[in-house]
Amino acid sequence: MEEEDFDNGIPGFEFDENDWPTTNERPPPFVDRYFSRFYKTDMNGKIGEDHCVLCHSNKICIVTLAKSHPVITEKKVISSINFQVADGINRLDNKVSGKGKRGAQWVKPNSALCRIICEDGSQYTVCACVRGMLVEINETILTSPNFIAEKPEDAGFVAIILIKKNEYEREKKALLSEEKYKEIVNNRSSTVDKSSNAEESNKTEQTLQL
Amino acid sequence: MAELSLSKMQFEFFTTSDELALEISQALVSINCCTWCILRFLGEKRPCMYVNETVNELRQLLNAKDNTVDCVICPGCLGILHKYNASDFLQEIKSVVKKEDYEFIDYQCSLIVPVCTILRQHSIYLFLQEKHGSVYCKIPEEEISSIKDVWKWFCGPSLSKQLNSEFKQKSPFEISLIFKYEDSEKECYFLLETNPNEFQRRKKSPFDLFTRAAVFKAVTTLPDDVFKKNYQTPCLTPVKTIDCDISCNFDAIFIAGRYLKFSRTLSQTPWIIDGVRKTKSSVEEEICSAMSIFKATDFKFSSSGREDVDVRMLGNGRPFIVEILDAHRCHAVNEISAVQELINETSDVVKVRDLQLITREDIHNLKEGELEKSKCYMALCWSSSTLTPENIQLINQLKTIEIQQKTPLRVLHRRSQAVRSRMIYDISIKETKENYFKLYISTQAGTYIKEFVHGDFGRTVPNLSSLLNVDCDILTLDVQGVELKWPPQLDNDMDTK
Repeated sequence: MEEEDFDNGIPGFEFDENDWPTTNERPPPFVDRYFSRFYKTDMNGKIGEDHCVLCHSNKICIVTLAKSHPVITEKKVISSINFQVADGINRLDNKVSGKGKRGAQWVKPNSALCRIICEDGSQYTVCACVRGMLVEINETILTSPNFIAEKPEDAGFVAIILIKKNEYEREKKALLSEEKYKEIVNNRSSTVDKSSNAEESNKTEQTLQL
Repeated sequence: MAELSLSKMQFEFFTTSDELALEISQALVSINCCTWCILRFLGEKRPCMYVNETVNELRQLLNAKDNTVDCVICPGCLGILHKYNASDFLQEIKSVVKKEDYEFIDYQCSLIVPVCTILRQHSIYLFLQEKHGSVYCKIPEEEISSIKDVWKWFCGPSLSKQLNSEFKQKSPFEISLIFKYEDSEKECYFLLETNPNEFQRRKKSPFDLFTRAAVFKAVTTLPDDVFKKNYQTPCLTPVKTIDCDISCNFDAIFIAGRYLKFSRTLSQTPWIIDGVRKTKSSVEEEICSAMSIFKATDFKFSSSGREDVDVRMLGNGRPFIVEILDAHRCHAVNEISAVQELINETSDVVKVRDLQLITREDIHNLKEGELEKSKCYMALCWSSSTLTPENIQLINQLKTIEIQQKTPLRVLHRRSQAVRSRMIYDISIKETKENYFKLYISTQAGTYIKEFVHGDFGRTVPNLSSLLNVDCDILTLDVQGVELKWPPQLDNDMDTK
């Protein structure tokens, strides 16, 4: 029996005789129930370009923008997404087949997944963060690019990567825990504070608490 | 002592001439054939003639030796017919059956003889053709009674007496006699040279190379002179003795039924990862533990689809089959309703109904149309804002909708990536309670309900959240019906509630 069948639902809820929950509490969000969040900050040395990796216990990872990423904090309007990350490498060409995901592109932590092009002319590169097989590229963001900023933990994710079984722990260790990530982002905003940009940092912190 | 003569014994041979039959017999005696092999090579095909008196009389008449007494192994049967026919061997069979402690009404007996006996029989046949072509050139080799048949004719009645049970052509209880001859494969080696196309040395399965069918085909199609050049004709008296393994097996018993599951912490099959149990029990174990009255060596549980650990199986239940392997007790096949009662008494969370005996041929019903049939569910869902009557109407007016589901993230690591089109036949929201509501949904088999509700990162479209334009989540799920008419419903099933 495989792991995914062992889905214990949402613990901690009690039901009455008509199978209604005894409270009106909201269930913990779907993402929180199935995934752990890991981070990579300042991707490729670019301050603030933080990524989030949502790791499922089955070694499936979802790469998405962290809430501290400038596209989100600065409420950028995205004009397009480019999956042509290099000459001859287009992530849209990624085709996988079979249970073994044959034909998948292999990515390294610093491999580019796509470029975000904003209306103000700024560009951001989203990277894989982990080594593994590229299982899926989110094509929805081609037509709805602003999902990247609006729904990073839903329909606005960037890609799905499957880490090799024996590399999973190593890859996870190379990422930042949620705690460590928050510490880094908070330190960063206090540095910004010092450089008398208090307004901007407040904004950042507010967004982070969302 | 009365004068013995072949004509008095009233055999039915390939030749009607006593003189010729005697000559043939002497030829066979000269190569050390046992009396049983002489009889079968002469063409006797009636079981009633293979009895002690006839065999002894023929031996006396021919003034032949008794292979067993004289410790000469017959080149034709390797001793199977003259050495493994006496009461001590039958006793041994009886003691094995007794030790295994089977309950059986009748039995069948199968012999597996070494593959080289095919070569040996062909060799003797060619030898007889050479010596007595007038008789054997017009008799096809298949006309010679096989070692297996002769053994059964000769030993069958006494074995039945020993076991106090009826020997049948077809019985669920099988006694296997596997005869092993050390040089059997070695004797076949020349076929690698003479028939290289049929016997290519494959790295993977050197043991399956010389199958009975392949060797038989090769031998019967090989030109006689080639065979004689490569294999001793007539074949030599064996120097090694033959061994016999006796084993028993009871044919699989198949039982079908429907199960209901009232727990959200019970997996369908035992869930063990790295040797550690993740659930205390499973539907399979709850059902099969009551089947222990069959004293089987193993059970195989299969069902028409499956539900997650946290999903209850309600309604009429889910069809399943248990294959009971090598049952040592079979009387319970007549008391299936008692087995059902036992399961329902012993398990608190699993109940079964419609439990019945089925045949091997019925099995396909379970998997047939597994993807076409529909399933009904009740999902307890949550919405980020309380649903309005308009929201509810919007859903309830929907008829058939087609959804596109990408392989759910929770199974993506082991299933292939694909977008699957699934039909939702019926969907309705009947009751709400603040932010919670009950969704009744009937879908094509293979639809992932949880993903349909929360959308799985927008990977199922449309999904309930997108249809309502409200964030939705799912708290619990119950299967309310699996639309499969098989196995037939039984009337007396009122005990599942």
